[in-house]
Amino acid sequence: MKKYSYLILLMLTFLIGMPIVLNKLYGKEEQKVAVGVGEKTDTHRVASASSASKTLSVTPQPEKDTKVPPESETQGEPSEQQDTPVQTETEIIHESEVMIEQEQQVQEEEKSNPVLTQVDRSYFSDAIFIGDSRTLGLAEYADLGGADIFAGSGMSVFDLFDSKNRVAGQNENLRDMLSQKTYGKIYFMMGINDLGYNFEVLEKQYKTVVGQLKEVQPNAILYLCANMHVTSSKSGKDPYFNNDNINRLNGVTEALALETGSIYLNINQKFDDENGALQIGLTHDEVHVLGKHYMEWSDWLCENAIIR
Amino acid sequence: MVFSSLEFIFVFLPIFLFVYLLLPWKIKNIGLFLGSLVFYGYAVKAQPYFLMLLLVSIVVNYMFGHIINQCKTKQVRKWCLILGLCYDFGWLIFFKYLGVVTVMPPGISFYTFQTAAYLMDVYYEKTKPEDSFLAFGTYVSMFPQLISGPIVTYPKIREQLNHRKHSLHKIDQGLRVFTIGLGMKVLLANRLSKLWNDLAAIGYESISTPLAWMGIVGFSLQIYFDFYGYSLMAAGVAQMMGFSLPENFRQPYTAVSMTDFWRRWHITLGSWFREYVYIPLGGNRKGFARQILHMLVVWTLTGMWHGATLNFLLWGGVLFLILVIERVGLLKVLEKYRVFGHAYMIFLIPITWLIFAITDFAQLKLYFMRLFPFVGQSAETVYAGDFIKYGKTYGVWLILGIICSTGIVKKLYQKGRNYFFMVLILLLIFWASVYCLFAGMDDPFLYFNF
Repeated sequence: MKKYSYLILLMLTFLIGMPIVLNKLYGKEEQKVAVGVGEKTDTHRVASASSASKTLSVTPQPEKDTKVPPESETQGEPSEQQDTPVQTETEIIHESEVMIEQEQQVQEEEKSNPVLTQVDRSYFSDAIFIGDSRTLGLAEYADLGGADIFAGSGMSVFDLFDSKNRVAGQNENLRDMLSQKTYGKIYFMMGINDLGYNFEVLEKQYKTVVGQLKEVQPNAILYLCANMHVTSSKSGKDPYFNNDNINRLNGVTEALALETGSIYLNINQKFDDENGALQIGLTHDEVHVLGKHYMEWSDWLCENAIIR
Repeated sequence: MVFSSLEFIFVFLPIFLFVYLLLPWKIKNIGLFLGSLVFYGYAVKAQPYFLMLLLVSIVVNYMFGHIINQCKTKQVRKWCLILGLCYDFGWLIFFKYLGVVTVMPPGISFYTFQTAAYLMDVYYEKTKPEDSFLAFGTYVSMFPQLISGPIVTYPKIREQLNHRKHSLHKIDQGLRVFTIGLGMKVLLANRLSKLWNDLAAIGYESISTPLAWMGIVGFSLQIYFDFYGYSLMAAGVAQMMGFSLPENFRQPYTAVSMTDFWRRWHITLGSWFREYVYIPLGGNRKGFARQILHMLVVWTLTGMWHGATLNFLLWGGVLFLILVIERVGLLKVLEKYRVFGHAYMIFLIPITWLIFAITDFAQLKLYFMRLFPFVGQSAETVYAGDFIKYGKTYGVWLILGIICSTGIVKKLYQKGRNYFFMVLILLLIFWASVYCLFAGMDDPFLYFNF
């Protein structure tokens, strides 16, 4: 009996293990896709959602000077003002009302068309970068000018605030980081790891997280960053991590940025090929750019900053 | 179908063994032959004509074996052999080297060498041709060694094809060997393969020197456990069916010289080249210069066998140079001063695997510069703490791999094999491996492209 002890014990454990494994291999489709992506019929909506080619909200528009001093717009005929230097009370109130209205107009225009400008690395000294493995790549291979970074491979929007920071030498969770310091800027780039969940659920959680960030750091400029695409071939074979789903999520991000007065940044402008996928030459694993491109990424961030 | 897959372990193998072991002795080979064709058919379901190719090759080689044997004239006999070898190697060259198609029939590098060896054995009268088409078909197609070896030459297995014993003890032993192989493949090789993938994802221009060294040590361990693990799984399955396959690895990383290494690594391939290329050319019997030439031929072909890209030729060439240097005197030093020999091999093994691992010469040069930064080129942005990060993730597996590469674990196993706790350890290895496969951590077998 001792001679066959392994055979016997293995067969006994097989009796328990085999049904579980066979269920995994040949179990029903719905069980396999327990955290599936939103309905497949939505793909036609995804395809028409904002893609990397849309550049509104991020392209600096030097031709259109939106920062127009209110006075010049309210100036009627200059001669009139020169002739009547003393304004009546009604006129002053009216002028103030007009100024307030125009300032609101400017702010709204700023919201939809923020002027992005070039900064140097010191801009990030009061910034925090929050994200997943792509942000971790930035932490490790880019120069983020001493910014705080909260990132990790696989980071999810579902347990973000209590997750452990995977940046080397950092131990705090995000909740603590955000409560201990006042940040001037927050760069938030997440969601791709959660594309396996039901999309509506993801969208809701994403918006909740953004709301929480704004609540905890109301004065920080919030940069909502689009998720970077994957390559065409990866997109073609992965049911979750494909560019249709990424674009769908980025559409949510862009709309949310408009709604909340945040800034939408889309790195895909820089890294995409002509088909709206990650350029094959920039990556080895089809999902992350090579280390050397993270420095270019941080250069691009320096070219797309706003100064308030 | 890979051995280290849930489909093989929980579907194919149990069904096959159940049927095979119940079959009466006389039709066991029919069961094995048909089962092997089902196995191969599943493996090539996307290209079913590959199964046809295998069957046609079995028929052609079976016929040529008899034709060669029956030839009376020496000249005609020789031409029949050449024709048969042209058929065998023709397909291999077509699929592997001409770049006409992108997909190769699985196992073609292995079964071609087996059928070619068979024809040469018949020609040199080392064996009579197999009379039974069934036995011959079983020999070529038997699924334990069809896809990735060991390369079994016909004389070694002829007796077993026609007379082999089955027993519960052999099944138990076979399962143990299979389990050890499975653990090597899934728990060690697959884990370590992620380190190499991670380095490629970063880009070699952005890895630090310590990480570069960690990378090639990891690759060396990965390729060893990948292939050795697979060979053990093959041997274990074969043992359950009463076969005893030849040993393919014998602690190669404990070698003190490259000469010694290649008698311990992929032993059946080395034997094949010695039997069917080196010795027929004249071996070392025609003077020193000819011996060197024969070695050059063997190592060029060995390089080419492993891959169609130029780095494999370079790899073969580098090995040839090292072996020549050892042949002209270094070998004696290494064998006398074994500590020096071990240090020498610990350095050379990862360096030679580097040439094997990277197919693009620009990338290969880049990696080399990272290993030896004093040679020149500075890196792109390097994350200074990268080796600490990857050391934390993979350190345990690297250390475990290094320990398992020595003879220690095998000695421990031999001593403890009859104790019950060894059974428990094997069960743990088996189910831990299954768990990893279950959780989706399976990787394709590195040698599958051969």
